[in-house]
Amino acid sequence: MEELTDRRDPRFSGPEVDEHWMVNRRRALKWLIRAGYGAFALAFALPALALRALSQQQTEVASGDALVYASNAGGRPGGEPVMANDLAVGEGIQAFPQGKTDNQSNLIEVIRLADGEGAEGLVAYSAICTHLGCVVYAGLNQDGNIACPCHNSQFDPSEDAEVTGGPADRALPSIEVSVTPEGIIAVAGQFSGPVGPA
Amino acid sequence: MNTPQRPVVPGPSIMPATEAHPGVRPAPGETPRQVPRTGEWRRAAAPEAAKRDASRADWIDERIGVTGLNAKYGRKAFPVHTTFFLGEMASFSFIILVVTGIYLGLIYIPSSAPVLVDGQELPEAYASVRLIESIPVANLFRNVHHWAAHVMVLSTLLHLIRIFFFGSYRKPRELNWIIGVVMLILTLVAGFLGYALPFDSYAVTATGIGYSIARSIPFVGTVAAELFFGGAFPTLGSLPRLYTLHIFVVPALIALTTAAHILLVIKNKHSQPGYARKLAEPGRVLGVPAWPYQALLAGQLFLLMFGALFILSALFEIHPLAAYGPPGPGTPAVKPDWYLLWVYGFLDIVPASLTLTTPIGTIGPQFIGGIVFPGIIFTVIFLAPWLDRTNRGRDVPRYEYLQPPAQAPVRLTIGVGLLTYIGMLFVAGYHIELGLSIAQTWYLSLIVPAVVMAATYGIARKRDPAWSRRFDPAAEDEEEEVLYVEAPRGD
Repeated sequence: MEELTDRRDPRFSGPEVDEHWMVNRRRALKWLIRAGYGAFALAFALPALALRALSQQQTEVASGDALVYASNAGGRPGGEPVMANDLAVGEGIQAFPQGKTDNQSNLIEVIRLADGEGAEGLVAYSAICTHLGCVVYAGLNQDGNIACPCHNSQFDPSEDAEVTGGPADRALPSIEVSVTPEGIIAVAGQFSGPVGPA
Repeated sequence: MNTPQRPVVPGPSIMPATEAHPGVRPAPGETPRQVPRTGEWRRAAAPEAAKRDASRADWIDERIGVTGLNAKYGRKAFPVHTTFFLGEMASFSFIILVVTGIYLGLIYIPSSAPVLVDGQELPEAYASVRLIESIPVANLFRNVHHWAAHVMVLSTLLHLIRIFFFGSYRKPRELNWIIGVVMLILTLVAGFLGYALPFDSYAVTATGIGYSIARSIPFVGTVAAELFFGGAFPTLGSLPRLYTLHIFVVPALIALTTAAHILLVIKNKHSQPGYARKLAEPGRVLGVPAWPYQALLAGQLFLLMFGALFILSALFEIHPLAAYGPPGPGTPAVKPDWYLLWVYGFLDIVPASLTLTTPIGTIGPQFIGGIVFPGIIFTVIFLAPWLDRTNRGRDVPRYEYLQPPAQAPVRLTIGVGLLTYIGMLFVAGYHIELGLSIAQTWYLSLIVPAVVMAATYGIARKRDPAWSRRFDPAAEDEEEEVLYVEAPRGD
């Protein structure tokens, strides 16, 4: 009697084989096709990731940058250097590091909390709200807080810009400022944390 | 010369039985009469011209077989009821948006690169929109485009509300409900993308907020946001990306889903008011045929809308550039349009203390207010067909008639409650102007819908208004005034 080798033959009585794990041509080809789909999807996904990288090179705040008015404020035109003596107690203004106006994230809110020599009495924070990235109002509101026009987040300038109201969940990053011999306010450090919504 | 003979049709003006549509029952004691088929008027009035028409029609017919198409789809019956035109209004707004959009695209430049205009440095897109504003007809088209966007969102929303309150999302129309809700989302997305294009102060603020919300998604947020917004918004890559999405990707998706939506309506037939059962056999739709009567009605509606939008645009200028000016270092106090104001309202009142830190990233109030919350609302809407008790189980019947809201008090109550809640989020969006604290806003936004829901349920359980019975397929015939569909009468 001839030996049966074809497992599909009903007369075949070889050792039991778990069909589920058997590799045959059909299964191998099916998996090959599935892998092909995967590779196809990947081939689309990877170039899509490359599309992200269209961001421009943007300037960053550096220690020593002199501050200039971001826009016209109280009779002082935008682009003019910010003099420490210009600021009255309780007044807040917004300024860019000189020559770095291309990046909105560089916008700095400077507030005079009290009179003082040099940088004494001055505080500076990022002007970008940590909630959804709007620019906070330059002036303080009637409670003496920094307020955001978008969703009314509020920050206390005398307490490291801690959140005192609204939906923001993080204080505005602070930044050290100094006053140059000419009386211009300048950056003297880095933001204490990530700018804007993290 | 003889006056051309028109076919005079005797009998009551009732939607008649025809070869293609034998399903209308004649009123008792009445013999059904034939309404002239397409072309019959013309054959009677101008036989020579009709012959020429016929030979032209034959030429086309021998090549692409339009008669078959007409036989298959041209006789589709459309129920005639005011609320059955809301979906059409949405698609007509879409057509108007495409037409006016193409015109605006001829002038608009999707670039935020600075250009010098009259000694002032402006983003190129802003300058091109200023050019559009300086050309009277282009400015008119821009206003029509903007108004049509509002009309499209509104009519889509009203269409959805009508379908919901009358239970038309139930078997066999669940899939079309899903497609419809997807279309609403696409419409909202298209509207949001349109905010960015003028690149004024408002555009940069609103789009920037959208970007920040997208970035707040845990784990994938940064990649997704930079893909969608063309880098860290605003960069030079942003406007071209948003422009492509606004004028091509999203409209193409809307067109595709519209096609699927209409095909499914043809497949499943319209759900109809209960009174239709008294005139049409079960399984048949009472209405006017797509060609020529419904087409005529729709054409009139389209022209009416187009005209109304022009009048509206001429009288009320919407979002002129001068209102916000070019983007500057500051952020103007802006609120989104009404159709996104509810999300804004929720963002306004979500407490900062909701922040969670998880292994895959921080879940902040931005994510909860901007993504999770609208996501929950839309999930509930998506799942309506499966939440409805009357649509569960193996032996659910095919619901071919509208269910009057008064007969489904639970559905009515939930729908009214959800709408009231959305309305209260509008209030939340203005809570500062109204002098409400966040806590007060929260209480109000929960108490008012609860009260309204209780009242709705009470009223719905007690009253069964006459108009509701008219919509009820199971209502007795006796006091029902039979509704006839007017057909053109020979004079």
